Amino acid sequence: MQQKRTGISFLIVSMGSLILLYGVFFLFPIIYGAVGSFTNWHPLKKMFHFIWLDNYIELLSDKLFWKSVGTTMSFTAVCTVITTFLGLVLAVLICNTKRFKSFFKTFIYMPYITAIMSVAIIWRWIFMAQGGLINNILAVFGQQGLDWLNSSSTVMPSLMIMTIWHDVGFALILYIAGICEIPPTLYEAARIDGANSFQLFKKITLPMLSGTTALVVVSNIITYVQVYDQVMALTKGGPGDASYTATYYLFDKALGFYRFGYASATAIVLLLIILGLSMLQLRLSRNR
Amino acid sequence: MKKYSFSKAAGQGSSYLVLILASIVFMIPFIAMLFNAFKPESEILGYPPTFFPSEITLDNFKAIIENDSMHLFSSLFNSIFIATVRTAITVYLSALWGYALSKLKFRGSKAIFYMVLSAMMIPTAVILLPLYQEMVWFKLNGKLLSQIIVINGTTSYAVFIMKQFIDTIPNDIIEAGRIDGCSEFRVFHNIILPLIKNAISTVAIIVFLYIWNDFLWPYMMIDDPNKYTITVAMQFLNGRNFIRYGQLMAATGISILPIVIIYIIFQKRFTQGISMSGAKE
Repeated sequence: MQQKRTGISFLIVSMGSLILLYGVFFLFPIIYGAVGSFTNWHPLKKMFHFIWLDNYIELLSDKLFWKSVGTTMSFTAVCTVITTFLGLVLAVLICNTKRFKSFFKTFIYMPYITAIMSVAIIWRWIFMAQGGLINNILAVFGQQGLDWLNSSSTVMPSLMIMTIWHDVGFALILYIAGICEIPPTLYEAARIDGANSFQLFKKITLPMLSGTTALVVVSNIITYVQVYDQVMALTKGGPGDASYTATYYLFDKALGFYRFGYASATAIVLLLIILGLSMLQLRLSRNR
Repeated sequence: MKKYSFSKAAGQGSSYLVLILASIVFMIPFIAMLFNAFKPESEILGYPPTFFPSEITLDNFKAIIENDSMHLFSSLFNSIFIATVRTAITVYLSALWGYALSKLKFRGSKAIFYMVLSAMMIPTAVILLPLYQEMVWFKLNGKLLSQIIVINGTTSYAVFIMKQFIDTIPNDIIEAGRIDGCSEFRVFHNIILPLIKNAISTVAIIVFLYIWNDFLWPYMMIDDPNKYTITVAMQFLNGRNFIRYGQLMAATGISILPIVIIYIIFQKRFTQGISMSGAKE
């Protein structure tokens, strides 16, 4: 009897605290945000009146929003493909070497643990038109330097380069863990059958890593669709609106003008895009 | 046979070559930052450009320490404070919740677990604006407490890892404790917690890293420069072009030093924590 009572009080304390915290800081905010997207919600003026679809109509007819969605999509596509690919290649190489494995792992993973806000200061200098690292290196080879962050054709590639540098380590670590779980007997059997290294990679390594790949791709998509820190740190959406991403657009409206209702509508549309992309990706990886 | 081993050696050689090149590329921003932090200002922007410092000076660090108008050190302190307290709370609660969800049988446990997991998929933008409104209601906007009491996707990830670990603990051990007359609280504190030390350190690292590097939430909440976290302080530094580059590089170095030290000490836990997410497929 005593036993049962402590069991129940434990359940009440543990699940009660979970439901309270998730209720207040997760479930309620989602509902409030979804409802708020139909209002003229302003957090400081205490406005919260229903204007129904006005936010969505304004949002969907704003050219800048669609441009920022396009920018976000190409950023997501390029960064996801390249970080995943580089992570896989480097992981295979590291697993094939015998010595210094942990050195290589440490070096390539290091950028991932640092805050974008900190390393962006280094990258601002790397991208500088006069005296920046990249242009200095280009000058050694007699090439003309570019104004990386201030020209609309190079600003997104610059942000992509920094992001890929920062995030390859994440894919790398997941792939190394995935490769370790492939039973060595598979390779031995295939070698006896006369398979070469490329065939081994294509017929064993890649298929055995499909779970890891799905995980890396989905987490990368979720991260990159929400890209914000890089833009905030290096370009503030500029030059012009060349590096406006969807989340930057959203927080520009939210923090610049306190239009929380409008920004919430943006957030809901973003959420739908993310859900759609994740489902598409899962379906694709299942069909394969 | 001989030919095979030769090509294998060549393969190894080119693997090393590629990996060494990759390591250099990934480390160069940090190395350049260090070199610039110790260069006199005239050399950083001077012509011809140099990579290695021709003379080493501590002036940049001196200038930062003497004149903390950048709020660098108070921000470091705030970040350490917030990250430590919130990590401790998250570790304890996620273990508690992970244990209940793993070992106690009750209706709705699956639904609660899926609700917790769904917090990892929702974009932060959906949550942050209502959260801002809540903090205004609670009169916590602008206070450091607003950085500590919230939960997010990382909390859910912590619960997930704890549950995964506790799932592997045999029920017999828990039953034995219960038969000896331990209450559930004592089972949790005296039996479970000592058994999941690995999970605790893994979760601690992940949560600490997340909070340390988080920018948007503190940026939305904190206006008072004395309460800036390190990422917010770096953002304001980044926008101030009149500050000298050498000092900026020194400040950047100082801002990433704590997390790099923690990374070097707990390296294994970092990588384990990241790859844990791939464990359940």
